Amino acid sequence: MNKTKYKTALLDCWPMMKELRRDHFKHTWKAGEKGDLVVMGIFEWFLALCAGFGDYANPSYGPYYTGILRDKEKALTCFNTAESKGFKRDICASMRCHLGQLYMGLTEKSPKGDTVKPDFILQPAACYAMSKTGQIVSEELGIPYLNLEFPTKDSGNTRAYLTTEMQEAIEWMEKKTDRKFNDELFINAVQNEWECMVLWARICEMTKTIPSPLDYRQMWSLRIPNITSRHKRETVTLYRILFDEVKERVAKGISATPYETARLFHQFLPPFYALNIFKEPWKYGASFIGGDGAFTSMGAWMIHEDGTWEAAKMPHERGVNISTREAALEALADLYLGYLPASRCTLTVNQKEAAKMIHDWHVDGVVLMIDRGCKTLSAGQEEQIVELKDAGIPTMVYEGSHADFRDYNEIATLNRLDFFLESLGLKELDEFKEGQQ
Amino acid sequence: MNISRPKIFRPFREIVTDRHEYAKKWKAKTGGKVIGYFCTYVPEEIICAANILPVRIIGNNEPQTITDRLCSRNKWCPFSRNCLAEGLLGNYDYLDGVVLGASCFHTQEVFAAWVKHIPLSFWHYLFIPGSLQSTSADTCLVGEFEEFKSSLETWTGASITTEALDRAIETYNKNRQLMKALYELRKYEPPMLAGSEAMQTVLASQLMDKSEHNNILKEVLAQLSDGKNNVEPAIRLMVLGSENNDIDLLRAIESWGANIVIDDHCVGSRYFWGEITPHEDRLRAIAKRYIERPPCPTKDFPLRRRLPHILGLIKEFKVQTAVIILQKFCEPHQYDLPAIESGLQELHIPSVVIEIDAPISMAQIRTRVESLIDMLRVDTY
Ligand code: SF4
Ligand code: SF4
Repeated sequence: MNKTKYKTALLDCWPMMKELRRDHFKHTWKAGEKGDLVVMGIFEWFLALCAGFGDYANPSYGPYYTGILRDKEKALTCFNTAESKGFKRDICASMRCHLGQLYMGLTEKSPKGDTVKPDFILQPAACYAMSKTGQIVSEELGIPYLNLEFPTKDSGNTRAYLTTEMQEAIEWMEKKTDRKFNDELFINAVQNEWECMVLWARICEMTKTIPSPLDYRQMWSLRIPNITSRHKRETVTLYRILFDEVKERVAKGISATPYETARLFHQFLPPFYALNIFKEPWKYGASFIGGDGAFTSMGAWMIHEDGTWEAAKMPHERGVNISTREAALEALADLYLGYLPASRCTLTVNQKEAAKMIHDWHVDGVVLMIDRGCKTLSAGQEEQIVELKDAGIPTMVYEGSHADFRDYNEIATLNRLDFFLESLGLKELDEFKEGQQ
Repeated sequence: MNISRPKIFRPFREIVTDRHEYAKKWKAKTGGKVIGYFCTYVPEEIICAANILPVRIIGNNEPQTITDRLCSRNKWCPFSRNCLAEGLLGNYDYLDGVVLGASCFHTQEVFAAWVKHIPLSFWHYLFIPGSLQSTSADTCLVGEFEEFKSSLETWTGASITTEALDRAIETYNKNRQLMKALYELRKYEPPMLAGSEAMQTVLASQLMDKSEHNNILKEVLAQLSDGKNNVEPAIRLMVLGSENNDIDLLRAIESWGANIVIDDHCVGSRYFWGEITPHEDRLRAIAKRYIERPPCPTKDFPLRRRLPHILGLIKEFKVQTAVIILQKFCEPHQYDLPAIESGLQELHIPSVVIEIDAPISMAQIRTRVESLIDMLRVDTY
């Protein structure tokens, strides 16, 4: 057991990250007044596409998702509302939360109580549940809807399909909004989107270091601007600063947590409303230092034959010049089909990957949540469990749901996590101080 | 039990029961290859044109534990898990290859597990766009079919000629016409065949050589057109929903006082509805049919095409009530449920939802379906 006590320090760019998150939320409500586009949908992919129309806001399918999930009473009302409309519990819990908001009349309501009318719904269809939710919201609220399919296979044919779809989406948005798409803004946004995703993967790579300069809980928060606004210049600036800061922490041996008696990975989605699971190991001096949920949202990765995950190279580093709309569309298709592991079908997952990551990140144990609600991001889960167990890697599996607290038994899970940590030979530390943030 | 004339449908019943034996015999007789396919969006015409027998992979509706390590029983639908179980148990050991037409994540997951744990010399993943309504879907689908065709050619070492494609298209179109003719007989009151017999016929066609199926079906139709009808009048019922190949379940529903007169299932009308219109570009012609066929819920947006189709069938087949069958954990069909239920309500069609697992809990289903039928009986008679 590694009993070394490490230096810790607050992250200087943490306030900047929080400010960007705040700005994003505020802009959602001001966008309409400012004449900016309001794009509804779980718009987390191809963000640059709408940037060709200038600044735009994305209130998802209602802005209260996170707030609702964190408040059990509200969450229950929301889920019950969706269920009373006939949406059963096997449907993705996140989408049930959005459907609940819809039928509670919250989807277009700002915190001040006024109505924000979206220009259209643009739903990149990363999963079936999203496409169907877009359809239902469109029907209920009478908002034009475009589904932008995310192919589950990477080939010349599917890349051509995706670029054609995006080209058609631009034309569709022009027609629906009577606005002209600006290629220059779009190209810049594509470059920003690429850079943020590469920077994020490079930042995640640095958590291989012992001690890890970031822990999973920090990463879970730090990734948010990368999900919502990575097409923007200020987001690139944030991740450039974060990258330099993390590099410096590595050089100076600054750790996210005072101890690393065991380094843990959390694979797949965690329970969003109970992220204290990431703090549970601290009393044993152990720390979650990574996992694919944060690494892939939204990191651009190259995955090698031997299973190694390496941060992707920027297009210009590979001699790819993005100076036309066509080139930018191809660069986007390349980014999402070639470098985003979360979008892959299980079939193309290299079976050596999980064990190789565990090796490369010097991980002592893996924790995974079986999420019956999300079929997409939990695809390949069982195969991974088999692979980890076969490789002799200590693994703890628990059942839960990323968004529905009723499917997660917190006390039992934390108890199991304690047992798991004890099975790794750890004991609760007498002297234990919480890390920062 | 309300079945028309068991002898007429015996050949199909036997093939469904002994499906593995049938495929093995076909292989021995022809020396050809057999490909197992997941999902009815797989263009069987291309497989058939390569002189390969396509057989749909289906499970056996029995409880099993062999897939537990690979597919959690708290997440994946019993149908998809049971398909994998059949493979892991070695019951598909005669297959030379497998192909997936991507639809829901359940089948994708099971296909991935199959490829990894049951190695075969050929497998192919066909990306079938979910946005089949989009203008670019046809070009994408044609591209997928071209890739599939050339991978089959590489594997078999023989090219698939235009003539062979034409023959396959003709055979499959013939089958669709015959199936449609069979379904027409269900419009009678009482219908001229039972729902379980219709399902048997569709299922057999997914498991056997299509030309042979056509020949038997022609005889069946000839025998049914003799003017005799053994089916008793009963409440006219539609079944719809998730994948279901449980003929016993349909028999049971009919034994409780209904005639199943139409369905919207992929072991049913969704499989054969809509023919291929000839086109110089054969693959484009095939793609067009798969785009325009009654959609699976995973391919039904941004507009709803499935609901109007179902409501149209209800009117056409004079349906009085509906049983919506959902596989446990089947998200695609659960998503469609509220819209379908309200569409049915608008037409004053009472319905029940039954959730099925493996094994099916018949007692529970019986209570619900029987009370639905009884309620209608009171209203009708
Ligand atoms: S949580 Fe999973 S199923 Fe739900 S919307 Fe996200 S990817 Fe889709
Ligand atoms: S029954 Fe539903 S979940 Fe299962 S394979 Fe079919 S569509 Fe997918």
